[in-house]
Amino acid sequence: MRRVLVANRGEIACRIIRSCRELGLATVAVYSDPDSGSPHVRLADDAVSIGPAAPAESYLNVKKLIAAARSTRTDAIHPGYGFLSENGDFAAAVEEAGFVFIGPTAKTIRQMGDKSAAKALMQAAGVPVIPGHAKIVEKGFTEIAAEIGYPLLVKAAAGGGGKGMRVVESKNNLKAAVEAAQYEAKMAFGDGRLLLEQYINRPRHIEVQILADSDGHTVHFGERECSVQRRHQKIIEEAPSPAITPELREAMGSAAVSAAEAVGYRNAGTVEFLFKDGEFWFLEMNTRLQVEHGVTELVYGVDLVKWQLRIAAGERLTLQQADIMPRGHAIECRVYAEDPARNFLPSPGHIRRLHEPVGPGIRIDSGITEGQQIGSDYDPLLAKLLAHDASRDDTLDRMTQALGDYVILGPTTNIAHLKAILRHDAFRAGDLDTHFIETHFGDWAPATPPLEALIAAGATRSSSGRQTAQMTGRDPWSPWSNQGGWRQGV
Amino acid sequence: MIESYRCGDSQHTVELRLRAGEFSGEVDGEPVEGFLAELEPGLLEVDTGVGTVQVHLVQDGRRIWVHCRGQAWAFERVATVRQGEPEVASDQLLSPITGKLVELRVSMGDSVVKGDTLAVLEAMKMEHRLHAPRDGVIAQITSTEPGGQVRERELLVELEAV
Repeated sequence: MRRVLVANRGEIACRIIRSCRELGLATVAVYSDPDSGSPHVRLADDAVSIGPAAPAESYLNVKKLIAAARSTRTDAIHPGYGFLSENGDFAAAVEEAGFVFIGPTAKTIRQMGDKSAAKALMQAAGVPVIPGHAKIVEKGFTEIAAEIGYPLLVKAAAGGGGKGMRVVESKNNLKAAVEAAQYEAKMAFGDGRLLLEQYINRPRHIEVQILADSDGHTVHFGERECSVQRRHQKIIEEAPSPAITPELREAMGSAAVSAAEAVGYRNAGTVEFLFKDGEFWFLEMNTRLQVEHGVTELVYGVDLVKWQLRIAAGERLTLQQADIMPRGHAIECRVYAEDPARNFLPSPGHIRRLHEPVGPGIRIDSGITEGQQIGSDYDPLLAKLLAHDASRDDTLDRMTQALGDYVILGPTTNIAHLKAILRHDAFRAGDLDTHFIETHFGDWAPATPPLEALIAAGATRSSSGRQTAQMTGRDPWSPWSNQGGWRQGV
Repeated sequence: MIESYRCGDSQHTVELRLRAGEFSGEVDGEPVEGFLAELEPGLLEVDTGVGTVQVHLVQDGRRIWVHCRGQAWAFERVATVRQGEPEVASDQLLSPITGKLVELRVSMGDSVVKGDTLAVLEAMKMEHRLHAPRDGVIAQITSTEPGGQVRERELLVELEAV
């Protein structure tokens, strides 16, 4: 294995390319038209255009990706997360075309991708599961819903990442929820089929990272606490979870390893659980790298992407469970181009200024650069900011500072909202559940601008009367630079 | 000159005189004075008397983006004298996002009931549904065909005035 094609975009493509480079592997990026100037394209050794913005015509197009791999004489394909990463047909097509798929086998992906079959498999393997309808529901929604009882959860059978999922409070909302979930599932996964199950109110979302080699040697790297979500999508993740004792970690870790072994799992994977009052239930297994894998990497001192690459190249996993110990605490904040004050609506735009925080224990997985246009074609994730320190409190303080130092001007971002969450008493206390945002931040609005912000804005049109001509161009303005005499270095 | 700046839902007035690195004037009617320096293009230092604060600033026409005290704000310079911002009538349904118009479920003259889905939009793989704010008759619809792009705050549907 000498050359890897990364079938993805944004921050995750950059992150994978970096690990490839550290292992001496050449890299190939793929890009759609609006992404031609994106960081992942510049970072890779080679890049191939795969078509227009629409995912179906580019990042979801198996034929184009295989052709790109052929034309660049690639040996292996890394799918990243999202897009085709959990598509069994893609994994099969990659292997049939003679390339290594950096992930589990197509069979495993299909087994875990079929949520109802996966649930049955997990139940057989002794992993606790959520009560609900055992099969995919295609008709008779009303009757099946009545059997399960309300509130219930409608979710995409092919799902993941919260797309195509709706909570239904009563019979009256069922039809609209089913329609919306079907539409979203079809858009996101090309498969609109749905599952219905009991809705567990206010659980925590806790997941376990596992790694397995081709011989079936499987280890876990403890849990990630991912309860802070909006629209069923995570925005803050941390490790370890404030709710998990060493005993529970051992129990959930063992359950995750059993889950992986039950499907002959290979590569990195995540077993997601709902957790409430000391009990946990299998939610799903994500047969790919997670967005939030970085917090595990920081706490366990492991590079999961390098292991994915090594395992795909046929190497044995040399880590033993007894040697895998957490150290300190890590947290990740997902920085999105969206407006938390307007129901998290995506906020596309041009990145006019970008300054990233730096310092000890700070990591940024970013896919953006200054000057880049953030379009409306893809997920609005801009970057992930991670912090690591000795204790949870220290880590939260470090993250709060780093968020304040993160300057992104142009698109509206959720940074101020993230900061407000980090400062909230319930968050500081570790008192979390999946409704945390609705409960504590339902009517959040950003603070009014401080005096200095208004003065700076006003200074662009002050009565000095000479700035207008100087305010054009890339270096936007310098109204006073020729006037001399003003205070330097105050 | 007094200028008005809109920031989200709030509006602020600023009148500023700058001379040799010092400023004086009024913000929201309150007197201000202090020091202002440009450290490098787009990076200022402002001291209103409570310590210096660094301010990142970018301007494009009437729009100004500022980051200071650990947070970003977007301003839009608006016309200075007016009798309050005209409210967007609840008769008008504006697109909340820039994105694709997936479906337009009404035509001119249709009667709708409060809560009816009038249009379906999509941006960044998320679906957004626009619902009728009240019962009424459709007086106007967007000329954008389903499948086409619409801009944030673009008029999609208008109801006949009551």
